[in-house]
Amino acid sequence: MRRRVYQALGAVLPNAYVQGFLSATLYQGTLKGVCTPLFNCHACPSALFSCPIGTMQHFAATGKVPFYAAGTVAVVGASVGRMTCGTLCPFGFLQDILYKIRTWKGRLPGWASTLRYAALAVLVLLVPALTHVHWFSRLCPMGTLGAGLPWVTMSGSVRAMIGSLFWVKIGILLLFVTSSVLVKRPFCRASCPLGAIFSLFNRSSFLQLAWNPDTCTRCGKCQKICPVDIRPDYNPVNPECLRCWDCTRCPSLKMTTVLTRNPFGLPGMAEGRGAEVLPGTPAG
Amino acid sequence: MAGRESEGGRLLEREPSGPMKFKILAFLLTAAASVTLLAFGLFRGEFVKALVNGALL
Repeated sequence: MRRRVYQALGAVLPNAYVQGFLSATLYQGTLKGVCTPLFNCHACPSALFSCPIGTMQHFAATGKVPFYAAGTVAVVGASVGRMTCGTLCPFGFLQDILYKIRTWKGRLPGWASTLRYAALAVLVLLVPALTHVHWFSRLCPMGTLGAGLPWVTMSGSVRAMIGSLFWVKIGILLLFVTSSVLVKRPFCRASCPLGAIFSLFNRSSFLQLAWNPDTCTRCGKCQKICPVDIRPDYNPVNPECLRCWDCTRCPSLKMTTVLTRNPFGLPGMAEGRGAEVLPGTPAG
Repeated sequence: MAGRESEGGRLLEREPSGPMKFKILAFLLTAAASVTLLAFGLFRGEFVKALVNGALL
């Protein structure tokens, strides 16, 4: 429940420029220079901050290295890993809500998680660098939801520019909306370039997930409540893990830091317990 | 349960202080590299470029 409050705040606060909707203008103040560690389109009329992926892509398209945007994401990643994906991201929130709809549920194949790295390398960096066109933003479902649809609704001049690309964008948005009802967080796991960057930090971030092999019964309930369908007991530093901490309802899993020597406070334990993979267990 | 305990026990025996130190070192290196990256970007004036791009000016 607390995570839902944070997610609601993550959706509302970065989009607090309500005047943008009333006057059909974009916020152009100093805050727009700040890249949020969230997947939130900066072309949304109410957006206060910049999208780090949009900024990286812009730098790639202009033949420059995005040190600032990458550094912002890296600092957040080094601190909390993928936690912003699990607790603040508005698009993640939407997918979590959609998955609550009761219907047949499926699972995403394991290889799908590699696609988000491809999206980062190809659509965000390589193709914009070669073509000087912001291809990821053009196809981004969050951009369609947060910017494309509001602008088309509000502005007649934007409506007049609707072409085939707009309908491709709508199709991509609908694909992710419908698939979010059937599988857990399909966009975050298979397509999100920001999540791909944050994934790289899960192993070395300050905040860590600790697992106690002595109390774990391998019941698998952690996977059932996990928003990305992983087994944190198999691999607590899994790059897929969103650090939402839902699984810490189980006493065998706990939020900890790299500096904590004995996260479970067990007597006679040496330092370094927790956040470990048991030998012989499959990587989740 | 006994099996799990022995697994955990083996893990404990094999692991004195090395992984803990490695984790702290990995975090410190990552944090230092990240802050350097961010500081270099700010030094190059990329904040303004991000603002201009984000505001679609």
